[in-house]
Amino acid sequence: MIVKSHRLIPYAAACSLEASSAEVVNRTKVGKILSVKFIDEISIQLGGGLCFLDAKLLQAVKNGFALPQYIPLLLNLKSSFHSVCMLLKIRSILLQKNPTLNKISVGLIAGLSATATFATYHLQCQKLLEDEKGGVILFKVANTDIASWLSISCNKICTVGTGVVSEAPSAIFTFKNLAVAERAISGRLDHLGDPGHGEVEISGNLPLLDKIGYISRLAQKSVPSIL
Amino acid sequence: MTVRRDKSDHLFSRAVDVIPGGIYGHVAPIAGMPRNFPHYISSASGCRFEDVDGNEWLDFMCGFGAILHGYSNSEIDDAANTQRSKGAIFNQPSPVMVELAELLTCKIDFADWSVFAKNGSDLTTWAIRVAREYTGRPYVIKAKEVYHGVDAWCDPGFGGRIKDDRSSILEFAWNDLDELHELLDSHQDQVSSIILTPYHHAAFAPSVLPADDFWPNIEKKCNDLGIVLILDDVRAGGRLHDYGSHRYFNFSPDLSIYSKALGNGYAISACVGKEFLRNASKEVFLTGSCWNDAVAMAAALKSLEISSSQRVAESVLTKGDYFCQGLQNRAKKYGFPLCMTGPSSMPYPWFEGDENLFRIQKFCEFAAKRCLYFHPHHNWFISNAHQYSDLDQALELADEAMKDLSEFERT
Repeated sequence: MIVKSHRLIPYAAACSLEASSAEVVNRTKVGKILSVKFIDEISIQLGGGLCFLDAKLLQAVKNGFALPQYIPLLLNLKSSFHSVCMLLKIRSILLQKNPTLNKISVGLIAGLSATATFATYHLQCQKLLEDEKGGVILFKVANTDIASWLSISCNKICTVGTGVVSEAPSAIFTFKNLAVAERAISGRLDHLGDPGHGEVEISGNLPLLDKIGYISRLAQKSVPSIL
Repeated sequence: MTVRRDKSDHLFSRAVDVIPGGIYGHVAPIAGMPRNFPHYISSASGCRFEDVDGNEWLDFMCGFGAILHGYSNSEIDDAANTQRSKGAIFNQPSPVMVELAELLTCKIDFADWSVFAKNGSDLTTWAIRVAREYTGRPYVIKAKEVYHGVDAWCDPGFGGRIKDDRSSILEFAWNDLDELHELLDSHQDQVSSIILTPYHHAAFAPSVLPADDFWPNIEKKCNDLGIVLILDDVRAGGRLHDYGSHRYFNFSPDLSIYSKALGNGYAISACVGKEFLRNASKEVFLTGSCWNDAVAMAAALKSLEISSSQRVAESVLTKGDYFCQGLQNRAKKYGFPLCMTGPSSMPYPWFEGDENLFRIQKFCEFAAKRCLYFHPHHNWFISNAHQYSDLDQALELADEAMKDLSEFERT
């Protein structure tokens, strides 16, 4: 698949929503996964039915609301309703005041998904990873069940997921607690300072982690967020 | 044993408020062992240093190679202090600059002239420009994953870069002469220089010595094609041969850059070159605010004098052999396939099969609990201040760390 450069940011935002919805379903056992699909040159579908123009999608991600395209919505009313419910659910979880397990797990996978999208489709990021042989980076929050991973295949396609990793991780990134993880998902982690304070612990393949870290910061400053 | 770190952490907290990231570059905590190494050091002598919490460490990093004759070497400090009493920076250079240039051109077999700066980067970048000036060609060939400094054409970071920064930099895998020849064939009459370290000392990876035909082939290609051969001897200089690592590997570069050990901790770098590059060197502007620092030059003079009189390179290689063999033997005792790669005076420890570095990180963590400063991601350094008793002590502590590692992996 090719993602045109001008559509990378909305696509990354959409992928974040898809991953977030999957995590909500995983944690709450209810709801609908917002599968992402390009509809045409200017709009993206989330979960069947619900379609947004690229710009509107970014607006929705940033502000929590934007008008979808009404014809697909009317043609798929039930499906669109479920998608809207999931979007509202994600919004409410991410806007929780305290760093709950749900908030961190959803926020973390959202961030990793945007990172994976950039790693796979952004030219500069592809270049960064061109000599990598693949690997899995595991992200954990100490003393919780939160465990998400980002996997790089040998052909440089990045995927993300939660729970058990099928292969041994190449690197492990552990947040000291939920509060530190909350800082990370809202873009307030100091990637140089916080390891020095012991707020995060890193081990394993640091060069790979370094590259993914840079890509994640690039994605984080490019893709809007409600946080 | 508990390693205290309250003051280190407090200083670091203050630092992150006023310095981005607290500490940056290769000594940033994240590059080493953030919660096991101290963030700040208060003093050092010989092969040991004391951190700000009063822990005394047995060191194997030597200021990342800048210390060859031991920390606070009294002879070198005396020479520096004598010069300091007269002054360090003037409107014009001090006589010591001429003395240092004369010594370098006298001792380094191919050198006909010398220039000085403060860091390796200052002169690796200048050297590739001299080569471009001489040849009128744009391209520079370097080996992949080799560190040549902090400038945009070669730095290992990712930020602040534009495509043009590296558009004239070509890379080949170390020791892969076929790949190098392909680059030369596809850029005929366009390559100005090949810049290389004497052997491949990458971070996060085992060191690789040059294959037997590597340097003869590179040297011949450069001569045949009119390409300037630049040796980046910043890290290895003084630890393989007292007068340049090219002597250890038996070849002759056109330009060579030294820094780290040159001043034994006093900030100075030097580039020496062959006669045919003298005029080109005059055309490439070179200066810096404190580059004529007479104190660092006096320290370098004394450092070179000690290297010569005490045959320091040979000494650190011999000590390194003893230490590396001892460490490998102890690892073997616990069933760990440890290989001390690279020259023994600056070995890189590599556990076979540990591509993701978890084992070396854990080993260095257990060593750090005993105030033994083993870096998990960078080659180590032996200084001439390491006495055999220090090496024996390090081996005993390393043995304990191996034992801990063995128990850790069993559980």
